Amino acid sequence: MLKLPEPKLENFAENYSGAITSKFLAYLRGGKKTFVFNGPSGCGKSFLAESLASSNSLNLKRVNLYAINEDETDGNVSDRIVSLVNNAANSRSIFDNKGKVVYVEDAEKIISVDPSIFQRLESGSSILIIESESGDVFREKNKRFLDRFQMIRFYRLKPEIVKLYLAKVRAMSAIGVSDSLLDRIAESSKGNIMSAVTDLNTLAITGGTAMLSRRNTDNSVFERLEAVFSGAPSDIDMHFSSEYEAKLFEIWLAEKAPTFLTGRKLNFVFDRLSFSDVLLNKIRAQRWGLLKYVQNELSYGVASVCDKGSFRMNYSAPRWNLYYKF
Amino acid sequence: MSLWVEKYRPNSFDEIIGQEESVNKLKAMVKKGEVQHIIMSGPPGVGKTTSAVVLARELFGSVWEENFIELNASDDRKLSVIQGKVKEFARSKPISAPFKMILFDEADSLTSEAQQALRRMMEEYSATCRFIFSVNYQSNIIEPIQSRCAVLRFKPLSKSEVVKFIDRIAKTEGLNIDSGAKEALEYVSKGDLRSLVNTMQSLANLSSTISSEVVYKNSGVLDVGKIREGLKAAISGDYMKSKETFSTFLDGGVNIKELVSQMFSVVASSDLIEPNMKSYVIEKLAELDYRVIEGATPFIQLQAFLAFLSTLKK
Repeated sequence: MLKLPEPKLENFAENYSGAITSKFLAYLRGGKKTFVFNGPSGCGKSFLAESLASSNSLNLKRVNLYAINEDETDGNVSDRIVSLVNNAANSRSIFDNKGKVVYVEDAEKIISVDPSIFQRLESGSSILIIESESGDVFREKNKRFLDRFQMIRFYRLKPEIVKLYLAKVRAMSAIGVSDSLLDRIAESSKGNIMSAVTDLNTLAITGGTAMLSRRNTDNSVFERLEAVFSGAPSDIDMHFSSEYEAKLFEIWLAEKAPTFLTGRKLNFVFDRLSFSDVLLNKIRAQRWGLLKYVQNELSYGVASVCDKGSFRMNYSAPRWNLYYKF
Repeated sequence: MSLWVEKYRPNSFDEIIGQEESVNKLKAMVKKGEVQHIIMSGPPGVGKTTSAVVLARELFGSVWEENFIELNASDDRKLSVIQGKVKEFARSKPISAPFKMILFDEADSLTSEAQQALRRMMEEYSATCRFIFSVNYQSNIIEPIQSRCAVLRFKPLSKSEVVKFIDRIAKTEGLNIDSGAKEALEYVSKGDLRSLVNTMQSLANLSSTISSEVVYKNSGVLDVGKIREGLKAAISGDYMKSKETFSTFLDGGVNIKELVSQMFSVVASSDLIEPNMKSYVIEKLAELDYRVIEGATPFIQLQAFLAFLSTLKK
């Protein structure tokens, strides 16, 4: 097993040193007790809550609202949520008079039941943190119930920050993994530190270097590019396992096509690209049957204007952030 | 008489066809005795469930059935049921093993609410229990779970791998299959070994000689020859003839989605349409498919597509 940095405030990884922690601590010192942690998965929300608890010797109490068994609540889910959270925040153990941090997972569950629940939550003497992973808390109809809560925003981590963290884990766990592999893990983690650590663990267990395939795509992107740009897409299997991967391939195509196609051919390729992009967005509503068309548009659409054997591979990677906003 | 699916189901990692990369990772995990939570993603019938079972066998040896459960889509997927089952299983101590394993087969059908609840359970029981999810598309698993799992990708099997497998069964069972029939079997099974083995068993019950006509007739897949004919007619400008051909499909009660998906495989895999026109035709087909899903009238959409095809004639 990997050894991970302990949950301590000084071990918290963020894009700009201290930007989130100092803001959070300042509000705490000002007496604020209710917070919403908003940000995508794997950027340290629950780590910060754990750190706060351990650095100040407080108890951390997690409340998972999805675990509520709706059969046993007699249909009154909102009362159940309120009592779960308020009990967690206000109950005191007779053996232990430490303060508490109550960490409620998933504001989205509350919103889906009834956003006015937020107003009924009482922190008491504890610190109450509600985790939220979507933008729903910023909607006007939900936001008005959240005026007592201080919003703390978390952002996807930059690859270099993820890499630094991985390097720390590598040193602590004393595993031999090269820098370039760390780079690859960090890059494919999409700024999610949890998935980066999982991948490092896989690597530590399997011990292979060649066996590392990227989390969100396999490493055959070059083979695929070569195949479609040299006009022979049937040589290669174009199976995508997620819409993300299809999108990634689109971006590669968009980056590479202008380097050796011009005029009408380029226009044609982008015509195909934009069509498959539209289809990809339709897949969001669970219409997976459409993915096969995307695959074929991307392969035959591009291949049909390319001459066999005229393509020279340029291995530089597309500049992600120009194209794709997380 | 035994089911061939069980008979030919691999019992060890070395019997699993293709998938070297994923199998090597699993082997390494067994060797180290350390297993992470895992997502296995890939099309049906390429060995995801089998790999999970083999993993449990290799890890736990003779006590594998005590330390491994499989929850599949036919079980109740209500949150309370999942919670009950997982808790009951995960709470007790593993039997002469460091941990237990739970396989969620066809996890695509888990609602995101259920997945959110599972995410918490994964943390709670991570000391005693490993979770394995088998899915067709990785995107159907919520990100917090994805990031806790090692992702193993299972690739569609190549033609030659499928043919090799057909040969193996033919040899053991004493079947007579010519190369045309092999191609037909490969085509109707679409790289899905489970459906391949089932088709072969039902055909072998009829006769020990298998021909391509029999395969197409009995597989429930639409008559590819006829679809080809209909498309050919449209491309050569004979709209009326192609309309007639496809009308017989629809009048015969064929589902438009099934028909479109067969038309797609014919268009994509044959040279019926010139390479430089292929992507336009596929675009039209995709639109047809999408509009039908959205509730448009199949008959009109199909005719519009055929009319488009008949303009292609030079």
